[in-house]
Amino acid sequence: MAIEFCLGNVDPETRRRLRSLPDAREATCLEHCGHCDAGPFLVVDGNVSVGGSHGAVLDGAGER
Amino acid sequence: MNVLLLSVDSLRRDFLGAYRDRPRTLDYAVDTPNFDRFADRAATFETHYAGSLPCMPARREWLAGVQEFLWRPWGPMEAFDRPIAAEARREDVLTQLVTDHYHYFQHGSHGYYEDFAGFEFVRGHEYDAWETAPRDPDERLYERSADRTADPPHDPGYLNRTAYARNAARLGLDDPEADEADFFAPRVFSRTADWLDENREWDQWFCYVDSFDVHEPFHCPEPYASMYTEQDPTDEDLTFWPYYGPVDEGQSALDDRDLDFVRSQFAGKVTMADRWFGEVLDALDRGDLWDETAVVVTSDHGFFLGEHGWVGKNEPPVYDVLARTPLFVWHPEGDRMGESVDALTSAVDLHPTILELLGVDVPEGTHGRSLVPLLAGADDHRDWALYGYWGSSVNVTDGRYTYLRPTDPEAPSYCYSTTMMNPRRHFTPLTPKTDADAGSFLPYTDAPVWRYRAHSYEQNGAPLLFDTEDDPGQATNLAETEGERHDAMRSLLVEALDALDAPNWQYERLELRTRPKRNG
Repeated sequence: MAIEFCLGNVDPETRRRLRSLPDAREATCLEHCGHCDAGPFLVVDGNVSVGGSHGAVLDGAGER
Repeated sequence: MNVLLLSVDSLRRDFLGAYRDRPRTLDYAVDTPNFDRFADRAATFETHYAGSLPCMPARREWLAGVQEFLWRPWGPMEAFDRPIAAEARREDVLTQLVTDHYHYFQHGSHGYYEDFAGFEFVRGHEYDAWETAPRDPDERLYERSADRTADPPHDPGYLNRTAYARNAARLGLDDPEADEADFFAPRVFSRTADWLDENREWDQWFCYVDSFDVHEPFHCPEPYASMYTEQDPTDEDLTFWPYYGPVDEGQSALDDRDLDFVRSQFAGKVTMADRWFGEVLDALDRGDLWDETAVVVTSDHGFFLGEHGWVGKNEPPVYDVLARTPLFVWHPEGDRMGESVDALTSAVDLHPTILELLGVDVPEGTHGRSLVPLLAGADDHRDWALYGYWGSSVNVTDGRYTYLRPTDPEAPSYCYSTTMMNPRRHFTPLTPKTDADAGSFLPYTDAPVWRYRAHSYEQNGAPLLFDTEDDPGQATNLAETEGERHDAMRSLLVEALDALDAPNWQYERLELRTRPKRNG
């Protein structure tokens, strides 16, 4: 599962946890500023996923 | 003397006939007869490097002479900046901006156009917040440029790619038979040619033309869309707007067919821009302006088209694909016209060059060095050029070797500005920085600024060292095998940081030596 996240969308603790995941890539901007402004989001396997928290987004992606 | 400064965004120098017979990664040549025509007349700078990256930081270097990436990311002009348009205007020089570069009108980048006596804003490129109808966009463009999950057509959020489909439809660009004159570079350069025709009676002027083309989306009309590909450019499976990132994974992944197509559309845009740049040259001919006008043609940066495994910019190491940019300068009284200039030069050098050509004093404390002596025949200019993105690697070249010094991504970077900008989310509303300090932190002004921290990020995990003379494609990293050269380039980087009075935390996060100094 390829995970991409924006630096501007994570707090320091979330960033640390995401960086520890294999296949996670941090970007300065993934060009989804509307989603980024609205709340937590990730790009999972090339697809934008939103949720109440980054953990919830990851959980949802893992269940799919 | 008049000065025409013309930038073509994202224009790779290796796509220009003046620099190479064919681009480094293509097996075909790209047609650029008008850039080549201008290069035949002008001085062609062979070793010109970007400074602060990407788009707006480059413009603050050109227009205000501040090598900002050591202190700040993409952001506005500051109250203590003295941009060319303001300085020239005080000396009774007419100033004009012609652009479709909508970033000037977004969050995060005010202060760039306001000092021009006139500005022409050609609407509709990329994410320009212009057209809101129809609610359901043209399917043909939408399917080739947007993603229904990422860019829901009815979502009015920031940077929704639906904007381009709507903007293009308003201009009629959704029609496969659209007139190329209605596309962006054609409109910007046509308007420039008209301005040159209409303003001959002024005593002296500075005209700044900032073309967003050849920046993505790489949406081309015919004949350019089919000029460099056998694919059907209207095929909805082929995108003309790739995401930035690794070419082999994530949302930016492109297979060989997709990548070949993206390359062909980039090449098509270069040729289209060239065709209409010719209109500007024709206007200079028509007005008999060459004897009284200096003309500077350049770009802010390049664009990865699969080189080193990347598409776009921002996250990759700052290879020469991105950093080594084209520069041509015509000076009516120059001694090097029609020749190549090998000396190392930097984007920030355009600021004092243009002011000197206009006969306007260069403000103290700015970071550029005028190119006018080079144009008059001098050989030496600078020993180093610094370039990079705020908060990541800091890179230096001596004109032959490039040294990309990585940062510790866990170490903080600090942003200094009179504005509480969003250092990583430029295009969204400002948010207050409740942890900010205030003080006179900057070495080039006594004005107090805010200082607040943000994440650093990694472009290269280890030092990268290349010999661009023997290895112009930067394929062989010499950092581990050429110890003396590595030491020399590391020392050169420290020398450059010292010269600009960089803050101590830069040395710390780059794991370079620190020194006692006043700036925090």
